[in-house]
This record gives sequence, C-alpha cells and structure tokens, in this order.
Amino acid sequence: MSRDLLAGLRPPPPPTELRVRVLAAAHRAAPTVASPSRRRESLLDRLWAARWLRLAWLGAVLVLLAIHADLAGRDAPTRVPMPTYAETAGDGSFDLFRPRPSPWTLAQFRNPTTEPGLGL
Amino acid sequence: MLPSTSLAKTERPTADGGADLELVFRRFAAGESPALAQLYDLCAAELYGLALWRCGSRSEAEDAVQEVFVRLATTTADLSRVRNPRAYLLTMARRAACDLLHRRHPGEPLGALVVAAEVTHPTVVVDAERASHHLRALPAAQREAIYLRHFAGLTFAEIGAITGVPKFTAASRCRNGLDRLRTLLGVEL
Repeated sequence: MSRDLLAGLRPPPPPTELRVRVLAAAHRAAPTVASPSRRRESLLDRLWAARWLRLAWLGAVLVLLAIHADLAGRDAPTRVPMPTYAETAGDGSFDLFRPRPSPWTLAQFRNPTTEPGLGL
Repeated sequence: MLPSTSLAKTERPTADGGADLELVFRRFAAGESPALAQLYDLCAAELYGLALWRCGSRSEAEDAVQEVFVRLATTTADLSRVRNPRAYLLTMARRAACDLLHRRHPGEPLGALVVAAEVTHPTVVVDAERASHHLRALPAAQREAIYLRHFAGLTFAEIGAITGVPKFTAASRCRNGLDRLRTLLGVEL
C-alpha cells in the first residue's frame, strides 16, 4: 500500500554538473600522498591477512600451551600442610609471642579521675 | 491523487549494484584514488536523494554530497574496516545534511521538489508536485525514514543504524509518515 502511494515517483537525480564539482573538490582536498593510515597496515592486519602467518601464530600459541601444560605437570611443588597450633605448641615456636610480665603493677598506674592532685 | 498501479515501480538498488559499490569502495579504501569517481557514479543519486529529503533544498543537498566525497578523500580513518559501505555513505550524507540544517537560517522555507515523476505524464507531474508539497510538511525524521525505506530499499534495522535510533523507532517513523502523507493526499486506506 505504502509502496503504491509512492509508486511512479522517485527522488530527482543530482544535476549533471555536480559530478565535476564534487570530484574536483575531493581532488583538491585530498592529500598528494595517500593517507598513511590507508596505506600502512598494522602488524595485526598483516597477521590476519596472510593465512600462513595466521597458522604460524596459532602453532606458536599451541606450542606454548603444550609446554606450559608439560611443565606444570612435571615440576609442580608438593603441597605441605600448614602445622596446627597443637602440633607446634610444644616445640617453642610460639615462645616469642607469649606475653612477658610487665615491670609495672596495676597500682602504679594513676587514675586521673580520682587522683586529687591532678584537679580533674 | 497519486497513481497506484499504472506506473512502474520505483527503481531500487539491486544486489549486483550493492556488490559493485562494495567492490569499488574496497578498491578506494585500498588506496585507488580513481575509484572515487566510480563511487560517485554508483551512489551519488542515493546520497543526493537522502540529503534532499533531509534538507528540502537542492543547493544544500549538493553541498552535502560534496561534503561526503571531500570527507572520503581526506579521511584518515581505515576505510577497509567498513562493513557496509552503502550504509556508511548514507550515514555520512545524513550527517552532512544535518550539519547543513543546523547552520541554516531557522526561518528559511523549504522549496525543492523532493520527489519527481518517474515517467513524463501530466497527471503524474501534478501528483509529484502535490506529493512534494505534502512531503515537505512531514517532519524531517519521518521524511528520511520513508526515503530510506521506499527509495533506498533498506531494512528498518539498517535505517535505525543510519539514523541512530532503534529499528522499532525507524519503523514507527516510516509508518507514521506514510499515514500522515496518505491523509494529506486524501488517499483512501
């Protein structure tokens, strides 16, 4: 229906002289040397463009994965469980962490709220 | 009233035309500067039509097309990464037209014949003038959605991508625009 509504009609074509004008303007505006970004391909582009480079890249990744798996299986360190406190309590390992007796007694500490001389 | 069945259907871009455009665009992206002229031949009419429907002014539509090709010639972007050259070019044309619209004097009236008769027949010419008159009354967003759908033959998803809206919004704009145009033209549903 909507197609029928616009049937037989079309947008007017661009004027013929526009082609010359547009191309001349584009030619004037274009740099003399083609844009470097259009010419220069990045390493990733080149890798993606060549099949043998893609295969080489894939092969290198697979070799690295295989080596990693092999080394991980071969030289894995054995896990040593952490000793519990009960196991190490008697061997003196925790002696350094035991509280030492204080040279001050509780009575030697002044209470600032009850001490008459302090005036608080 | 517009003729509905007696006239040939609007010319739409074929699959081969799209393939040609893509091929030429790839050649241009690879650095072949002469491909720009071929690119113009393949897509200038479509870009001009979209800009004309967006701006409603022939001179601004010409400026928009020129802007597209100047930007193409001077861009530093990697054009080989463009997936859909046709949509890319239409987006460029739309943006150029929008830029021109923003620069235009606010009260300037639209005066161009945005649609022409495909065949030369007196009734069709009158209808084309009527259709152009009423099309100019539509909001620009609806007008461009109708153009992209019915003259460029794009899907709503493509129209949405070009105009920067969801495809459902593009479909609504097209439908609402056609409904309003139908009302204005007095066409029975």
